[in-house]
Amino acid sequence: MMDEVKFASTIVIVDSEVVAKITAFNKNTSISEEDVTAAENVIPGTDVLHSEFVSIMVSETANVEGIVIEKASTGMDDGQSELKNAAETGKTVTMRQTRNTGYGYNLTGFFTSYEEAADVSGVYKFKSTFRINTKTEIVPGS
Amino acid sequence: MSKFKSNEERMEYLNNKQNEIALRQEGSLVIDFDKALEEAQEDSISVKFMGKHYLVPSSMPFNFSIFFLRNCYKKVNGKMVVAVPDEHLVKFITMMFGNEFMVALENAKDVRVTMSKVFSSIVPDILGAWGYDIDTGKKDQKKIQTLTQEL
Repeated sequence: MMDEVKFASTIVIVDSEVVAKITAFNKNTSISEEDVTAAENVIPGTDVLHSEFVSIMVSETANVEGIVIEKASTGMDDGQSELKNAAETGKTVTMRQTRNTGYGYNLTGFFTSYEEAADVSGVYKFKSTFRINTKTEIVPGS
Repeated sequence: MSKFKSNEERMEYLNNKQNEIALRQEGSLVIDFDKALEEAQEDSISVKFMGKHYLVPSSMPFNFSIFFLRNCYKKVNGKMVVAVPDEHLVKFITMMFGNEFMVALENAKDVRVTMSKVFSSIVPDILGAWGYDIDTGKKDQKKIQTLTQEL
């Protein structure tokens, strides 16, 4: 079961501009492993090998939900958010998570799935899966 | 051209919208009983006694219904019977007709004004209007007798 982490604020930044606010965030971590069992892994007194694996890759994705600012109308209004453009083009975006203490993380990656619907309040609601490629700490005052 | 000049403005806008959505969702879960009460048209039943009119609500008030169902409406031999216990007689009349009517009854000099007369003449009509019919036929005279006997 995934743990839901609540941050004081999680925002999405595209091209240095804040475009969305995250309202729900569930992070998934998966680890790829490789079998490195060799002859020295034999169980003493038997001919049986004790398998040995090593982790070779850590993958992180996050299922996120939030609200996003409507795209600024330039010419024809195609009725979509600023974030959808980034998702549709596989653009790199940054999620900035900060706790009440001011500490947090900048998560950089791209969307592997994205769906949104217009809300009557003038913003769009979206659900997406976000591939986390890099994670850097935010230290207040630095 | 974006309508926002800075990221701070964008964050403020998003925070406001999030609060707006949360309030709307909260609001959609609220049933406004006060509004329903405001819209309800309440008529009254007028009870004339000693030349004066006393108004009784046309629907059973909630506090009366709780009192009535707890103390006066019972199942006897498989039938629902209205029976007011002695200790609740005064409260029953006061809650049904109001304190002013109760005082008028107490001060009445007319010997024809009796507890059983109140319960046989006007209480059944009010209860009938409130959805608890006590018939006036012979069969129901018995029921009223049962009621008055318990008085």
